[in-house]
Amino acid sequence: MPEFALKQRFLIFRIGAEQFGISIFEIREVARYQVVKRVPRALPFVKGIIDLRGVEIVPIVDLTDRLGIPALSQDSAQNRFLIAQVEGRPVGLMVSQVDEVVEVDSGEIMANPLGMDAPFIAGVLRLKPSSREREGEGEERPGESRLVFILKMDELFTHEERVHLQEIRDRFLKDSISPSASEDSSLARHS
Amino acid sequence: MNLRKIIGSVVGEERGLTFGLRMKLLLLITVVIVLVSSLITYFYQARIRSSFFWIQTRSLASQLEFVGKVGKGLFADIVQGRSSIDRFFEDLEKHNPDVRFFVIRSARGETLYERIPNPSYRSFANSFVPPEEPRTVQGEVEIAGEKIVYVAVPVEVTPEFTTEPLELLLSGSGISGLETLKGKSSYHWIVGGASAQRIVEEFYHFRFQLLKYTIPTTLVILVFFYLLLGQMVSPLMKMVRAAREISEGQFHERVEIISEDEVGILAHSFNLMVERLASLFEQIRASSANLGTVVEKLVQAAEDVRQGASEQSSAVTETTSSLEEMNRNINDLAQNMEELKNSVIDSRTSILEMSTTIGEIDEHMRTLAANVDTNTEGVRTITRYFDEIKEKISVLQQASQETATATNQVDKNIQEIKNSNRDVAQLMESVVKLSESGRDYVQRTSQGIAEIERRFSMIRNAALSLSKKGEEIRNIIETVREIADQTNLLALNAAIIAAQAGESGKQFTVIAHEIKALSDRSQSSIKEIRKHVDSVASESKKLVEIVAEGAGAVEQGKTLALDSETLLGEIHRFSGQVREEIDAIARATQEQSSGSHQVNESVQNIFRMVDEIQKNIGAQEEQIRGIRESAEKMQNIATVVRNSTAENKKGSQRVNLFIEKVNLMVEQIAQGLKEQKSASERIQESAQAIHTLARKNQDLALRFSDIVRTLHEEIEKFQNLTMALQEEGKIWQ
Repeated sequence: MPEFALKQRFLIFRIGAEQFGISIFEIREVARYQVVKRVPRALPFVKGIIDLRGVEIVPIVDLTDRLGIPALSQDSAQNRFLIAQVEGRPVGLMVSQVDEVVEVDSGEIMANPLGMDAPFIAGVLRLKPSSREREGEGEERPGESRLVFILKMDELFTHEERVHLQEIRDRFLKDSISPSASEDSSLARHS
Repeated sequence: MNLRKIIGSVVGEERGLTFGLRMKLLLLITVVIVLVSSLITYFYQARIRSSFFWIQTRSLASQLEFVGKVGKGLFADIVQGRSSIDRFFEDLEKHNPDVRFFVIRSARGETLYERIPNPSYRSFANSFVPPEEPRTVQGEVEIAGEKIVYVAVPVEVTPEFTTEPLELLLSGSGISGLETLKGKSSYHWIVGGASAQRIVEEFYHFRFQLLKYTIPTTLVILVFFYLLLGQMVSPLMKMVRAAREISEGQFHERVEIISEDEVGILAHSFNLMVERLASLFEQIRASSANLGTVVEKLVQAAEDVRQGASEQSSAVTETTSSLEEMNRNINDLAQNMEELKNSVIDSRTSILEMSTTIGEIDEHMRTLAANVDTNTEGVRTITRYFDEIKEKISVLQQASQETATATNQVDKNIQEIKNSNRDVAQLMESVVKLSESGRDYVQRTSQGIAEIERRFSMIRNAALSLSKKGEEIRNIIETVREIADQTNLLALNAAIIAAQAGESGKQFTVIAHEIKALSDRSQSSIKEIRKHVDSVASESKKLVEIVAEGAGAVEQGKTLALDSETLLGEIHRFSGQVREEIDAIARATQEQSSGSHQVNESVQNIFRMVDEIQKNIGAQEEQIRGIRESAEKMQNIATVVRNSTAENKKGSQRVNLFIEKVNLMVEQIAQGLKEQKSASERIQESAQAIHTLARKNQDLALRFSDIVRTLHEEIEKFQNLTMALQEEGKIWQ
């Protein structure tokens, strides 16, 4: 019975022209673009933070360096944030487009060809073009299948980097927002 | 996928395995499972009962084995006194109330010990025959209507351990045959019996108990399941229903938000989207209606402009032809004037000639008078003179005849002049009329131009309002684009949540996919619409430019029309002057004519007199008196002639004066005609210009109507697009 074959679901997205996939269990949501606030003294892979719906501070990371792809040229309003979970904590990726959620048989996923050189790649997916594929993009011709790297969120960051992300979240969560706000207002009063 | 379709077709649901159907199937399966398990429990009771027997047997066996193990050391106690073994079995009985009897039997079939409260078991307990080899024996038997399970457990009895005490024990009891036990291993059998009745009853009880509790519990679970699933599914169902309503264009439908979970968020977003869609469609509908009326107005205006232009064109054509006719008439007039001038010159020559002749006559008359005065001196001389007179008279006659001819000629000329004058007057009349009608035409033209100007300003306003509407539509489109973007995001998040929910979110995934497809399609539709609106805007801009151009042309036309009106006014005024002058000429000519007639008459009289004189002279000398009388008469006549001649001279002078005047007038008229001709040529030029402008107007109107048609098509396309957008809502079904 093919209905009961083991299926996996992935969210397919693009950074620039490159397509990637992430298991949907590692994704919490897709958010609209907003301006990324840069954080002083943060490590280079951290682009900054965003205030997600005024409830949560989410660090935004830059994957272009470790994925070896050209950086997103500028902050475009068409971009989106993928809010992923690393150890249950939100981490935002800035992507240029979110395509779809695909369902594939486990057999269709090829093993990671890079092995331990890139442990953050869970495998390679051969994606058949869906009928909803946009015609105007022109990067892939219709009827041609594409290879998509599936990212493993937990392996993307070293232990130190995760600690660093948590530090950033903690600092903004606890008491550094309100003191800085009052500082601003006191400055305003001075001038 | 196929399985779903099959299930769907089996239950008559062509949409396959829907959410509601799935829920119903789940409930049905639960009920079936519970029923089947209950039936199994009921029908397999014999098997279960035997299992319970087995349990009872096993428990009894383990108890007896335990007794056997311990019993080895207890046989001393058995020998010493039964109280300790009794206590032991009492303990067992306390733990297992179903125990009915215990018997210890030797290998040879002797009962060593018995504990049988109910004597009905004794015969069975004492009839136990041990098997050959030492193994646990078990079985069941019915005694006195009671099911009894029994177990016999072998206990090894070593000889060195047993002989002596046993002999001691048995010596008092009368049991013999101990020698067989001596020196070798032997077995005693502990036989126990327990009733299975209670446990079976308990099982029956348990079975009913099971049915008593499981069925209500199942029902409660079912109800709970139904409510829970219903709560999960019903908002989705409602959303599907609402989406269907919306796809039919009814935007008042809303989904009730019951929960705050993902479905609730979806319902909330859905409601928001529906509200925005509704307002958006309302706006689009209103704008397209506005556009429709604007376009209708434009079409009407274009039609009016075209009509006005063609009317103007025909009026101008008429004016041109009238002006041409007028020009031709003026040319005729000029020719006639030229002729008139020639005639006048001729008549002047004739009159001058006549005047000379009359002067001669006068002279001759004077001579005659002198001669008549001297006539009395001699008739001969008179006769001679008469001859002379005769001669002179014949000359006079000749002159008179000439004069008569000249006078006739003059008369004819004068008649001609009169005729010419009449022609001229008629022509002038027609000129006046023509100039009036020309002015009328020009006024109508200028009215037409004003109408065109008004229409142009209407068109301009319409085009401006159109471009403003385009701006509004662009704003609306921006809102739609934002909504589509948000919907896209919402659909993606919904797809993620649905995928995380696994199999149960599958249906929801389909909805999320459809929403995403809808938002994608609306985004592309928006692109299309924006393109069309931009083209409408550029067309309307072009239209405004063309209208501005047309307005310039109309302005020019207006100036030209004003110019031609002024010119026609001048012609009108001047024609009036010419007419007056021609009237004066006519009057003068009339006078001259009467003077000429008088002269002619006088000459005729003279001729008659002379004829008479000649006759009288022919009646010879005797009538000299008569001659004298005649001479006297003649003298009188000569006086008359002189007077007449003087008068004639005066008349001729007046004629001359008039002729001078006529000449002057003719020259003036010629001048006026020349001016008029140039004016009419200018009018013709103006009319030509107006004609060209009208043609241009017509062209513009045609172009304009083309543009309006294009605009109309664009609007239709736009309406089709909104229809398509509405159609796409039907995906929700």
